Amino acid sequence: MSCVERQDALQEFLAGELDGECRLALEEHLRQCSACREDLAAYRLLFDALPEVPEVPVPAGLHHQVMTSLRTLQPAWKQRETRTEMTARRAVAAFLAVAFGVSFVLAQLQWMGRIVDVVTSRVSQDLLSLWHMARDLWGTVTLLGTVWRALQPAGQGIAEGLRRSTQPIATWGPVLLTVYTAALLLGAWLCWRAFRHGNERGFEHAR
Amino acid sequence: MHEPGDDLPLVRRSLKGDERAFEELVTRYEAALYRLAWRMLGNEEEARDIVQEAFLRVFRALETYDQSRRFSTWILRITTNLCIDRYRRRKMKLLSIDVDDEEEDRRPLVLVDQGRTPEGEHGRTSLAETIGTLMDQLPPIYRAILHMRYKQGLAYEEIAETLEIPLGTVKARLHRAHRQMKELLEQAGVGLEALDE
Repeated sequence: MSCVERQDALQEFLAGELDGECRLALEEHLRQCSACREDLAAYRLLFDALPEVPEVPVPAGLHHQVMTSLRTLQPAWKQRETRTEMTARRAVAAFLAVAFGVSFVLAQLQWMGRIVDVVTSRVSQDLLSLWHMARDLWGTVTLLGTVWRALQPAGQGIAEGLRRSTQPIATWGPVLLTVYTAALLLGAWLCWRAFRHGNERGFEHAR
Repeated sequence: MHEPGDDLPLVRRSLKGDERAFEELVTRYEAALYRLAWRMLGNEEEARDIVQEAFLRVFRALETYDQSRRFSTWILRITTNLCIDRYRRRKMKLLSIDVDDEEEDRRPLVLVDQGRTPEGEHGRTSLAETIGTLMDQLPPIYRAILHMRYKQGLAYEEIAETLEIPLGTVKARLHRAHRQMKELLEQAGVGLEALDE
């Protein structure tokens, strides 16, 4: 099929998309064919007028209607949000587990050292050291318990306030991260304190 | 239409649950979708429903969206398919997106005065308004192609991608749409003298 015989030759001609050879062939054909000239004139009319066809105005409430219907899918939004948050939570939880695990092992080693010291020291010092060990351990556990009980309602209160005052999406991540970080820092500080305290005891034993 | 890359950050943020990002996509496309749906269905209420349904579908299927393709063609395709489904239900007859072009060619075009233009009556109807009214006599898929080509300024390739049909089919359908419009213009008494206006 020659380019002149192609159905879409006239519309490509009008759009200026016909290549040189085809264009010349079509122009030559148009000089001889009145039917094609008539078609071309009609297509040109459409070509010029179609872009000017008036557009309907967009209804004022359309945006609200669409967004309202989308908000009925709120669980789906939350699901997406939760998926993102879950990843963040898992990362923080893994970090905390590793950090506390390392702290725990270090503390255990320290306690073991102290137990060895106790076994090899005098009876009175043994009893005193054991008392200090029990007291320190109990103090740490009690303090952690107190902090936990204090932070829990405070954290819930802050989160509830944020939930009311801001949009729920994208507020929990930073809040949880802050609470987790604070808890981690507190735990690390307590571990460090116990560790240092143990070292001082160790020095006392050495003396 | 926005450039292909413009929508991608919004799509990615929407996938992370950012409602505002999705709302920005709604703002960008609601007018284009509404006008396409209106052109295909010729009814405000149905066009509104189609736009709403299109965005719901986009939201639900966002994770399956191929980010290497244009977002605009994807959302237009969803809208076009919804319009065709609606038209099928309305007319209670089969109208495939793979329209039988030969049958459409044989079908006589009868000019029906629907007595409406997008803007309503504003006195003397302009040539463009007349053409807009005459377009409603075409099959919906031809209306969609004319609208995408002339009102949304899509290239042939973009129309082919949107409607998931070969490039040659787009050109052939555009040609048939032009030819049917020419017949309708002749029936309406709008002749070549309009060229002199």
